[in-house]
Amino acid sequence: MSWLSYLLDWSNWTGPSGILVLLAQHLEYTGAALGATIAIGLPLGIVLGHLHRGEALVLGLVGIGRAVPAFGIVVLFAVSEWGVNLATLTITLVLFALPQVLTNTYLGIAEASAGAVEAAAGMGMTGWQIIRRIEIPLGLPLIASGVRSAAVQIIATATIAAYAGAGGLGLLVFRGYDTNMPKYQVAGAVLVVVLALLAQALLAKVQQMVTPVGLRKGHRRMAGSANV
Amino acid sequence: MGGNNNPWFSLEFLRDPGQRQAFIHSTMEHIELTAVSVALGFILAFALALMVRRYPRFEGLIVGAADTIYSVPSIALFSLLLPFTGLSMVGPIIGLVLYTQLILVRAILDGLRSVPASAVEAAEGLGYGGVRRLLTVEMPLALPTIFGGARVATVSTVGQVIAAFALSHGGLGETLTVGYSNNLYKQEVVDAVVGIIVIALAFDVLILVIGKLVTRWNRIGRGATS
Repeated sequence: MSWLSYLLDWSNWTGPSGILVLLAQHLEYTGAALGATIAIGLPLGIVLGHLHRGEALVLGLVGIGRAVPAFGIVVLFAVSEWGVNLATLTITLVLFALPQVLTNTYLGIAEASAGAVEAAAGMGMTGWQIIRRIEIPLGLPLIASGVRSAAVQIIATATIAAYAGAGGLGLLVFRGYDTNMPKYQVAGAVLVVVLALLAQALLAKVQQMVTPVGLRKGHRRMAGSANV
Repeated sequence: MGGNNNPWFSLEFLRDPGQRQAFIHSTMEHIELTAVSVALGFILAFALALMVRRYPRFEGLIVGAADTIYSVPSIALFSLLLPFTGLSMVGPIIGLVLYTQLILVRAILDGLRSVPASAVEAAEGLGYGGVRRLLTVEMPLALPTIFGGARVATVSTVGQVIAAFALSHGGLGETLTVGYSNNLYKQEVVDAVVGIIVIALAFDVLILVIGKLVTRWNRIGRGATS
């Protein structure tokens, strides 16, 4: 596996532009973007979904948001006086990832079983209690899948930072492209894919932890197949 | 800053016949790459979805592979195809088709799974065999979900074409990167970004309209029952 040789040589990991530094930059960019996306998308999606309001607005914004090319926005920032840095990169990645989180959260909450919501209201639950104890747990699979896709998209797309000289794991990809040496692209791609897989596994774990016991998959399966 | 010599918004760049021709060429290439890749991607995704239906144990493998490919940075994927495909259109199309699979396979599977069991049973009761049931009963009912997936896949493909500049076929991605390396020529960059957004929105509306036309019975059915 000569293509993986770059990754297997520890001396490439250390140093001022070594893999560890690029990885830290990449984590900083993706962490900030995912954090901001969740901080905006979840509350907004939950409130609008609970009120069943603004579906046309959400879906319209999402349609436009999807059409905005992340690479194009980064180049726009690169030719502007702001340049490409943590702030402008976060704006770009949030624009790119927000549609996914917002739609899934909105739909997850808005389409939580009407029967369960009515029953909860009948039991005297307040709006906030319904959100917290009925709609969020029921909408969680859809909400979580939106966050997971957003994480993967952000991690893969943050590579464009390096196009405008802002580092991150994309630096390896562009170095390989510029010098025509595939070992760099392979190293960059492998690291990004591994990071995306780790992020998905971590988020799946978080999802499992916040899912009420009664709604967990294993629980349901046991209850459904009691005779086996 | 650039001042007046490098304004954000100006059509001066498109007044030059050579530049204009290059811009039109890039726009056409962008549209062509998107259309061809989504069409081929749909055929592949449909075949994979049918395979998953027949052999459910492959679902994890196929969706997992599509998921992994989706997380590969597009510039890395495209430039790694270079030794195999050269600078032909084949490289960008292979890459773009691979990227559409995650969204399309999922949408087709979700669509087919959303078909009410009663409809499938009714078709079986009428003696509809596998292929006929699929084409005349399940597909029509699955279409709204499938069209939803096709819209997302097409719009995201328009964005991914940009990265194919690594294979010298990036459509307006070429214009964008040339504008960047051309002394940060702002209006070329702005024109490219606006062009890409317009193409994406146009595809989105086009598929939305086709979807509405093709699934007319859904609205008729809903209107009749309400």
